[in-house]
Order: sequence, then C-alpha cells, then structure tokens
Amino acid sequence: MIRAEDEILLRRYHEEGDLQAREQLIERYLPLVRLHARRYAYRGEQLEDLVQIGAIGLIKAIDRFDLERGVELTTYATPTIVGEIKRHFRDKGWAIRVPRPLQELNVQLTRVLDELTGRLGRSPTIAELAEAAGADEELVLEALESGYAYAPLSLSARNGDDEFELLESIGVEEHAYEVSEDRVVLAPGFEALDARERTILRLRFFEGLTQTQIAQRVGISQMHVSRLIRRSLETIRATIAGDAEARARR
Amino acid sequence: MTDEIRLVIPAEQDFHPVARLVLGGVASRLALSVELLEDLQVAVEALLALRNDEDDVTVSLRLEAHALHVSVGPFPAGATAELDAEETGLGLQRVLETVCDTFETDERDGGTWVDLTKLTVERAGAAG
Repeated sequence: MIRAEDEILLRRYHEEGDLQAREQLIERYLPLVRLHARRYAYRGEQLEDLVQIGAIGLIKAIDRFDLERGVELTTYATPTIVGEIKRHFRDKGWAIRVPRPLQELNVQLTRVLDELTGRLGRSPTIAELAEAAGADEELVLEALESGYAYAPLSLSARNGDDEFELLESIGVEEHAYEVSEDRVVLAPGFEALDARERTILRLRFFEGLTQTQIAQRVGISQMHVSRLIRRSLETIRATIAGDAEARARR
Repeated sequence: MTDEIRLVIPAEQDFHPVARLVLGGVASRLALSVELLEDLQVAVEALLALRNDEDDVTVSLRLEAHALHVSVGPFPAGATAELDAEETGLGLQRVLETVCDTFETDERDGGTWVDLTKLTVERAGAAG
C-alpha cells in the first residue's frame, strides 16, 4: 500500500504538475538512494557521485510512478535506483577496477566449475578448480571474489526475452511450486527482484535445491546462480532496510 | 597450535569482503567444495549485514572433525531477534537454515553471538 503522505505528494505532482511536491519526494527518499549507493561505493567510486547517479533513478521512479499500482514508492524506486547505479558501472566497464588477468581467470573459472562439477558428480574443491584452471589457489579465490564486483554489470542486463526464456526453461509449474510461490511473493523485499531472481531464490531457499541443481534447471552456469543469489539477498536486505528507514522518518 | 582463526574487522560494509576471502582461504586448506564455501560465505555475509557501524565485529572459525564452527558477533540487543521469531519469508532465519547445518544465538562478552555449524563432509543428496 502506498503511504498517505507519498500519495498526496505524488498526486500533487502527477495531477497538478506541482514541482515542489516532486522536490519534496526526492528529498524524502534521498536516504534510500544513499543506502543503495553505499553498497557500491567501495568499488572505486566516490559515494557522493553514486548518490547523484542513484538520484537520477529515484527521479525516474517518481516521474513514472503509477498511483493505481498500489505499491509503495520505496518498492517501486529500489530497482530503478540500483539499475541506474549498475548502468553507470556497466557503461564504465569493469576493466577499470579488476585487472585483466583476473577478469580472464574469472571467465575461465565459470566454465571450469561447470565442467568439473559434471565430471566429478559433485562440487569441486578450490584446489581442484585451481589445478584445472592452471592457477594458484589464492589467485582462484581472488578471481572468484572479483567476480562479485563484476556481477552487478554482467547480471543486470535484463530484457524481457531473456527473462521469458529462463522462465520457460524451468518447465511446467508444479503444484508445490505454486504454493511456495505464494509465500515468496508475500515475502518482504521480493517485490524488488525480477522474475529470474525470484525463481532462483525460491528454488534455493524454499525448495532446497543446490546451486548446481538450479544451474542445470535454469540453464545458466553455477557461478551465475551463485552471484544471482548473493546479489538478490543484498537487494532484499537493502529494500527492507530502506522501508524501515522510510517508516522511521514518518 | 591453535585450531581457531579469529578475524576482527571494522563492522563497516567495506570490510565484509575480507571475511569472505578468509573463509575462502580456510575452505581451500580444508579441501571444502566450492558450494560448501559459498554456503558459508552467504551465512556470514547475512550476519555481517546486521552490522554496518564503526565498531569491530569478530568472525571466528573453529575446526572439529567433520565440522566447521563459525561464530559472528557481537550483535546489539534485538539485532538477531528474527532468528527466534516465526518466519515465513526469506529472512535471516531461512537463509541460515538453508546454508548451515545448525545455528544458535548465545549471550556472551556483552553481546549476542551467532554460532553456526557447517558439516565439512557433504551428505549425499543434501541441499546445503
């Protein structure tokens, strides 16, 4: 449900063109932008720069908000704010922050991890991964970690076709999934996720599938599943924190 | 020789990746699988997310036969309340239930600590 104060301001802006109401909404939700910007600031970007970029997302959300949808502004704005920050990183490219050899090793590890898992019939150890990739274990750990810095760039590429294809690949919905889907949809923070992220979290945390099983089911690499899970959990936490912060301000 | 590794870092979010790297180093030496390591990282990350302040947070790892015990804390009063609440969504409780074998809270050293256990020998067909 949209908050009464927000609804008044949004109506003043959307229906009467009151730019002051728009300004008030921006100021009101800047702490939400700051909260999300902080998550990305350690990647070599100044926090204030990211707040400015995230604020563009907030303004877009305020401008596009549909009062008839009945969702809170924080819920609607979160993906737009995060999306704007991610787009900024994508435009700049990750080469700025992650050395090329680590990028290449990360790409290699994504492939090697799936190959080894298939061959061994279990998740490999770091040593096995390192040996197969011809790299030191420490370097493998560093490359895996760097992959999470890269994740917002590579995983944020969303288009309708991609989501549709992934959902299709999951196959026919079983009854048990429908039941758990209800729980998932109602879970706090889930509104901020896209269909693919919701599906993967549901399979992992409500159906108990392993990352390997999810990767096979959804048709993406295990490393991709791992990154999606961690990013999605971060998004949920940030959304819930943003909602709590907004409630506290009221 | 000690069988415990104790990492004390600022609780600020910027330092959370340090804990992930330490977990990776330990997992590598214990020949744990990548999935098992990632489960531990998800659990510790979820707990560290409860803290983003200027004080220190401790992550300690203790190895026993076939199990790795991880303690994270201290947390201020009420910070881990959702672990004891009845939960239907995807909060801390469900995350820890999924990625750890056991978890419990303990009041000590002036705060709340969350103690996790992860079996280092993966059970056939186990989800975690």
